[in-house]
Amino acid sequence: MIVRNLHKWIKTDRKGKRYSGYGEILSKLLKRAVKENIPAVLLMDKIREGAAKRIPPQRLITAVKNELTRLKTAKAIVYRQNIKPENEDQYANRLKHISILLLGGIKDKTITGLFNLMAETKRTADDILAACDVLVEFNSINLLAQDDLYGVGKALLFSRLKASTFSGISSIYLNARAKRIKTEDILTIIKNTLTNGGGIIQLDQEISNRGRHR
Amino acid sequence: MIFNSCRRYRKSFYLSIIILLLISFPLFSEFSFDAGTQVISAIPRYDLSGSNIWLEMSWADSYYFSESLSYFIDSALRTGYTPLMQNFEGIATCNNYLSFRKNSFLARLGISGYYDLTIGSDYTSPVWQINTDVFISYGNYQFSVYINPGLSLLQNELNRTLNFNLQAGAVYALFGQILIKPGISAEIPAEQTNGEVPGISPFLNLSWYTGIPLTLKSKINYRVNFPADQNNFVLTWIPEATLLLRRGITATVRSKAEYKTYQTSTLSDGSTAYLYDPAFKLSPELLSDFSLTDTITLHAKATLGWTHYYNTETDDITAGLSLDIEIEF
Repeated sequence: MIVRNLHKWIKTDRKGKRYSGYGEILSKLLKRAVKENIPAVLLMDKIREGAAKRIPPQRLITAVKNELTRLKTAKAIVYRQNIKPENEDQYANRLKHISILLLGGIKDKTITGLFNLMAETKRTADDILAACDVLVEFNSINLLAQDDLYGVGKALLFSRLKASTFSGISSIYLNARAKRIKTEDILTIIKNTLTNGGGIIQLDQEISNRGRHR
Repeated sequence: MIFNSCRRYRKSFYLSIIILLLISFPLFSEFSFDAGTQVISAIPRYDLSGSNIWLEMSWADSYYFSESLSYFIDSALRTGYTPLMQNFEGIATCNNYLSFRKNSFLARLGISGYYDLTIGSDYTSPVWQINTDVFISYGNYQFSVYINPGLSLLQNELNRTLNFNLQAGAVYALFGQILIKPGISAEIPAEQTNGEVPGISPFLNLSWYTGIPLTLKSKINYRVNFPADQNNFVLTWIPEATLLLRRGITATVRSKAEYKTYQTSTLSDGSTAYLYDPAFKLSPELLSDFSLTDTITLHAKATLGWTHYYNTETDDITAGLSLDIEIEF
């Protein structure tokens, strides 16, 4: 069905026609996803996204292959951690979410390590993913080692903060960097403050007296 | 003759200390080196006398004795050279903070100081200041109150002044992202020899740590100088936004708007002098940081300053640009 949709899209859609010579390769990738029990619609979304950005065919194929690799890793994490939702849409969303984390530079072992803390921290799978989202934001500000990312994620999960408020921590990290506080120091401040039961107020207090020059 | 000789020795002494510090700074582990230039000019006149090139050696380090007890030190030596090398400017600073945080309680002792020496063609003028304060805060991750008393001792060329400062306030976290920070601060000089006057400042600061790499801040401060009357105040508003442009590149846009009426000071003979005239000042700034590598960062700062003096109906406009490269070791 999804393969048929792909061919139809390539034939009829103005953006799809650009990839008319590559239908077979793309359909093979979709079939492989179906065989792996990965919702092929996720790859189809990637193809449409690439077409909208007018990405050249060869680059699109590489991007779809990479996405398939990430989705396979995401599926392995979901099954290994026993966090597969019953609903198929939710399952697809979860795979897509983890794939975005992997794309954002969070490695399999870091995500798995944080999921391993689920029982101990009494957090849900969505909470773990919210903590991982913050790590992606940290990585978008500057690349960090996986151990550092894991340390921040762990501190978030053990903190008193609700998962819905995790995202503010990435802005604090950015602000601290703009104040020229050293990366290592910021990470230690975040970890120690959260571990001590503090939140955004206490982080703000810690950072406000350190920034030099500004 | 003897006086000139002393001055020459003092100059040599200061330069020796600076050279010694410059050599010894790299021995510290968290050392960074910063070199930059600052160009400031009046508009429409062209006057670069405030411009300089400068070098800075700094050392910042943190010690975590436990999850509760930590010590932070930040010291720097900055030297500046004005055009034609007529003046040598040097500022040494050192900030020390000892913090104890346990659950809802935070106590922090701060001792900081600076020593400013400028060696010109015909003068040497050291000025130093020492500040000490205690920050005590109690609260949880949603609400906190604090009190921050402090003392500062300033020595300038003629006088020594002791100031007592007190700040108290509360912080409330809204939606886990917005901090509302009302408070009040007071400044009481022990003597008014340098023109300092007592003042009290209610303020309201807001910080919004948005869920994306963007921070928005606003600081509003209303200072009433004493003896108070209806026309003796300073109103300041500083909005600020910090955002991530792309990985390794951050930008901060900040603007300071200040309206002040006059400020008087009682001189030793009992007469009253005006320290400044009523004025409105607006100074926007754009600061950018470019992380070239893990250890090298380029900092750029563009500033604009406009001051309007109401008494004389005159305006001062300045523009500045500074660039510096920071290398961390």
